Amino acid sequence: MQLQLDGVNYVYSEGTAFEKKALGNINLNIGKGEFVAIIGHTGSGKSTLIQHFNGLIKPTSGKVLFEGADIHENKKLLKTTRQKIGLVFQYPEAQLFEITVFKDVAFGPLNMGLSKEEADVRTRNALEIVGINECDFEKSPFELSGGQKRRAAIAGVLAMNPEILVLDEPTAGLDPRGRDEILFKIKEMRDKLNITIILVSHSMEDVAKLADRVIVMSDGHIVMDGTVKEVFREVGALSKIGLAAPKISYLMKALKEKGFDVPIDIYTPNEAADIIYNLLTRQKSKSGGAK
Amino acid sequence: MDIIKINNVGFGYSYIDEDSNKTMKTETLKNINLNIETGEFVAILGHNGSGKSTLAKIMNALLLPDSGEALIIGLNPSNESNIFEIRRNVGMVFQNPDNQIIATIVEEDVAFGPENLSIPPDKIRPRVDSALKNVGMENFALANPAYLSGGQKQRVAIAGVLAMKPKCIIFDESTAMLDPNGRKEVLDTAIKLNKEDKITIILITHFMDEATLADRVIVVNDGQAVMGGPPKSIFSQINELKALSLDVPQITELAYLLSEKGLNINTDILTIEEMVGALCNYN
Repeated sequence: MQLQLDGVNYVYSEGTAFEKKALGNINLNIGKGEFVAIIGHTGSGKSTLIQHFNGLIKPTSGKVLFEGADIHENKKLLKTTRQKIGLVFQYPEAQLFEITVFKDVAFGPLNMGLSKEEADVRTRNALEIVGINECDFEKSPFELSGGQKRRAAIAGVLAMNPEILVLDEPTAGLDPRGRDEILFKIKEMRDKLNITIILVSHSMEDVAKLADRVIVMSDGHIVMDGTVKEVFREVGALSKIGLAAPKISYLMKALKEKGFDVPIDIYTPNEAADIIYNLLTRQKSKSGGAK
Repeated sequence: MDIIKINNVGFGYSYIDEDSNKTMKTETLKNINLNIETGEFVAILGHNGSGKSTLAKIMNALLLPDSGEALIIGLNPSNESNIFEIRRNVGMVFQNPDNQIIATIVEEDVAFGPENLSIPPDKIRPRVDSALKNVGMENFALANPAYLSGGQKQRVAIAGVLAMKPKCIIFDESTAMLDPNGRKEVLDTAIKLNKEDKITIILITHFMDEATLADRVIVVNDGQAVMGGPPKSIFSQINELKALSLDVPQITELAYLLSEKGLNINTDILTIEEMVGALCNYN
């Protein structure tokens, strides 16, 4: 397994009046090239969990293993792990600081000790992957649009050549086109670069569209872990912990209750359109089959 | 009666052009026209950078028009003596709850607005209590805002606005940072304030599903109001919206896909119930 969490517990402000158990007995394996979504309401422990992935937080007990090695075993290993597991925080554009887009993205690789030539190559590649045009390279990052800024910030992490990319709510606050652009680029990165993607999201529609596997967090625990279909099928359990399945699945369920012969584990408008179309045209040809 | 009238308003932000070293102005709002009626629930859509937030700031006199005229609760913000009356009556709830809460105790935060209006302390207490009750946060009056969830913080921010007894509240992407539960809390509060307390609500959002709750949707693009009407008439124009970097609710998208395939389905369907009804009665 590429990334493994073994009995991880985490307690905030241990020994003080504000002591709070944030993670309880987390066991998790993520394999190379997986596209995993992590969902859960605010305060469920998602952000605490992902900060364990690259050692920003050290577990109170338990182990985090990257390619089989305990990342906290020594400082050197921790440092290389942080380069291999890239974390894109919420609103990453707040971290843009350089005078040009290019310099901002090049900061990470240069800081890793790469030569200027190597860093330039990586910077170009990263900017190309996220879809920033060459004519914008020398602009101030603050002249970019909201969606472009966000993509430039992601390029800064990509330029470190991570093997795992963790994104915390990458589309929050973006307009629909900006959101679609980022999601499309993320999917492309996974397909082209074969890197593992871990996506934290509040948008069940986005999760349904992109992820292979969904991990559901509640109250510091993993309460569900399965494929998109397996997890979103559990509508009752999800709503109990303050989550919902994608809207389309509620439609399919309502149709089923009305006697339509439709599957209920459908989560995108495209899939639903095909199924409903086939159903209605078939009914029509059977003559008088209107419901 | 119109609570807000925006007539031919132009607005730009100043910046220094690096090549010529001259002070230039952006064209953020270009002779925009729109009216909002008292008691309406209006959603404003538009891509990032379309001018929505600038428009919102014109509406409560945080910014003043460069040209044209704004009339807010019948008052012109260009006359300085009107500004406080306008801001008291048109409250704003911003995107990031952490940027607008200033006190360390919830009820003190809510009292900040009325205190600033020089309302006597014995009149502030009932205002604070009723504002917190109105947003369902009365049990958190003595809590530290830092320990609240995002949705709870936004409700405290709404209570802070309510304590000023406004006629209108503008939600400037107030749900963007919240989880589905938090979003629902804020939206339910907005709807309740509109229906029960008759407060005019202006909801600026990127979530198309939220806009379907409004009486009217206004689409802003490139500093102008380019579309306006009830949600059904706006969202049935899927191609126009996509061209403006916007989207339609998922159910409406499904209706559009079905009609593209040749089924006789109205493309102005917004909700699951409507869709189920349309499919049950098909043919």
